[in-house]
Amino acid sequence: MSDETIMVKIRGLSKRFGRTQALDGVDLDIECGRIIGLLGANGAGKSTLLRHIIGLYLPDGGWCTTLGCDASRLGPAELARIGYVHQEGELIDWMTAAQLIRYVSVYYPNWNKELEQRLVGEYEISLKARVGSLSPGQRQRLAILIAICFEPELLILDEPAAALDPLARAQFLDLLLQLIQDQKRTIVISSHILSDVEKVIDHAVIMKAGRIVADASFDELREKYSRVRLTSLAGPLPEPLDFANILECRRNQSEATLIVRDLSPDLIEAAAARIHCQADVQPLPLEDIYRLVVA
Amino acid sequence: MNIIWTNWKVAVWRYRFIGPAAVTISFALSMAMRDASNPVDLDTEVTSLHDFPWFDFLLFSFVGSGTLHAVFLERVMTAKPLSFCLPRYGQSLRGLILLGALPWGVFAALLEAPLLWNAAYFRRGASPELLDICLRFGSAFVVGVATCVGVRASRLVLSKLQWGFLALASFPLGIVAVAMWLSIDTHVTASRVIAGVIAMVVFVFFWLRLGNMQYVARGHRSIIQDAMDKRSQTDVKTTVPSWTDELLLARAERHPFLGIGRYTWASLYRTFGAFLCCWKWTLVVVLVLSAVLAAPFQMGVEIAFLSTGLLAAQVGLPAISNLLLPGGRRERFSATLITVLATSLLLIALAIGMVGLSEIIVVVFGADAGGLGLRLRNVWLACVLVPWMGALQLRRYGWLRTENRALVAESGFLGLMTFRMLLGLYEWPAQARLLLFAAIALCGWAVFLLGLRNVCKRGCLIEQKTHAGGQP
Repeated sequence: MSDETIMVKIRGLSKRFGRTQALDGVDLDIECGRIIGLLGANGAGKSTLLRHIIGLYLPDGGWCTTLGCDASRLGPAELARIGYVHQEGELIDWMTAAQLIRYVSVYYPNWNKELEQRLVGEYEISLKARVGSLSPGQRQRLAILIAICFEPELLILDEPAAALDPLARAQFLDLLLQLIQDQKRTIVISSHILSDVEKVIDHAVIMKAGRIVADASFDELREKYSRVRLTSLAGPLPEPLDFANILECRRNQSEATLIVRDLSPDLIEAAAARIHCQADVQPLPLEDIYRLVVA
Repeated sequence: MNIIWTNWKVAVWRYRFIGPAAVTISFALSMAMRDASNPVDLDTEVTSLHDFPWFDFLLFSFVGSGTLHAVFLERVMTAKPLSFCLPRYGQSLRGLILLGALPWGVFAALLEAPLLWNAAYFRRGASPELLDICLRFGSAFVVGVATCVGVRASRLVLSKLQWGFLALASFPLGIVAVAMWLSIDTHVTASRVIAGVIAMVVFVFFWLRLGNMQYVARGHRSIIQDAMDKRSQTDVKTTVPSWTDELLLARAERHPFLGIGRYTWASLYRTFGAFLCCWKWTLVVVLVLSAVLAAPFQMGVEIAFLSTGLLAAQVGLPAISNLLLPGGRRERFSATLITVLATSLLLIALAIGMVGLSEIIVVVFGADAGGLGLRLRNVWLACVLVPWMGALQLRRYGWLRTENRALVAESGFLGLMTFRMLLGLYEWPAQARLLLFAAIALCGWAVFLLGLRNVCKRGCLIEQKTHAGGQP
């Protein structure tokens, strides 16, 4: 992996808030063009990590470079290439939506007016409405709009869909799918709604207690963990089942559902044949993978 | 009483800013009463501790604090839409409202005390009779309780139309009632007794209605409906006048992209737009403060100028913002510094304007305290607070959130007042006093600049909201 293709490089990043160790020696590389899902429980350190990437927090230990620049020294030129949607969607309440859009657009040389108008229509944003009077969902849509209309190279979404209703979430995912068509754009999305995230990400970073416990492509993770449904072809299933790396097992006399790790479909087929069973191998959804990784 | 007790504990913590607020108000009230009972000496520059009414001050502080706590608890328990679902809500409603009203009664009775001693009797050298005192205190207590019960219960037990009419009529009626209360001099006791009887009738009316859950349920539905309507209002109500957009945003657009100039002008628009969108109210406040300056109260001068200083506490600084814009730490530093300087200049202009306006009020209305407002030296109060408030704004995370910021600002107010009083104890040369005030202002700027440098160099640039675990 050459340094030119790396948008964000983090080494040994640590951050402490009082007695809480928010980040503990985090190493991470974010490559250009990747769609990264940053997953973890509340307090795992996702938001803290994202804020270090854009220089809002400075680390106690280690370092972070973003777009080739030390994150603590990010200037207007670099920040104009980064979009950030905050999980609480904090905006300026006294402005109208139109004023807010104009206010933010003033800062950016490459503001896409066409995209702005399209999103205003698609998101049904009332331009005359005062931002303070918008519902949480509308505020979040507005926050997303102002974070992407200058077409950032690095888009950081910190719980962007948390306040959206299911319909708006679906719209948001469509928009994300459109955004990732641009091969040069890198997106880091932190979310609790794993079923949504798994539709768009190609790389997963899982955090627990300020550390990264998994950093792999989504395909690798899906290959690593599988769900195997065994159906006995002759008599009851043997006790115990002759399978390696079983993480979970639910069974009765003739059927069993296993979750296994690091077993290829061929190995599973071979093991099933040994105990006279038919094996149906399925990939695990992200939610289950996440549960197994952090367990 | 479990519900009340549990909520009381929560309210005491949640509204902990009330204590210092009550102390501040009590301080101002005590000083105003002292001024009311003694002729104002226009030549005295500062107040002193010699004749400060300590007893009144302590009494007002404790009772005021308790009263405000009770009122907030009552508001939480009775008017919030969810409270209707609390177990035994119907039975505890009267108790809750009375719990909030009783301290108001005590407070009203205490307010009667200085009037009784200072104004009515002491000035004339007469001594009050016991029955007279009891009647006056008793009636003040009843009026206080009934007023509070009426205010709190009316929204719950009257129809929306009745409540609207009452709310509309209560302003002029209230002013007339207070004016009568204060002005009737010849038949004081009789007038207090009549007011007490009227208040008792009001109290009984609302008390009986509060017992009828049909009325209460209707009131609750109306409150919830209003909240829903308010939520669905998306049309803009107030915003900045269009000339502001042209003045500040258009000016920002004239500077090159990603430069400090563009960032700073846009930041000024963001900061001052919040005030400009309610410019009509600002104008009203300025007029009221100017009228206060024109009034013959020494304390009024300080309150008026400090109010302008306290405005600075509400100015949002661009250094700390959750909205990511293309401004690095250097740009944030410059924009914040310019914002605070602009705030200082605007507040000084405002203070000078208020002085001039107060003089006009004095001339036009012929008040007998002419010249008090023209003391330009009081303008320093507005200037001194700005950097301190700026420094305070930089610590906008953790415990120092909205209500606590008000708490600290009020503590600062008290500190300044005490400082001014302590100054009055000694004979200071005019230059020494000037130097002292200049030192306070300079210290403020030094603290602010060091704080700003610290935040912009190695601090967190985002407002931290602590969750249950204490981690931002």
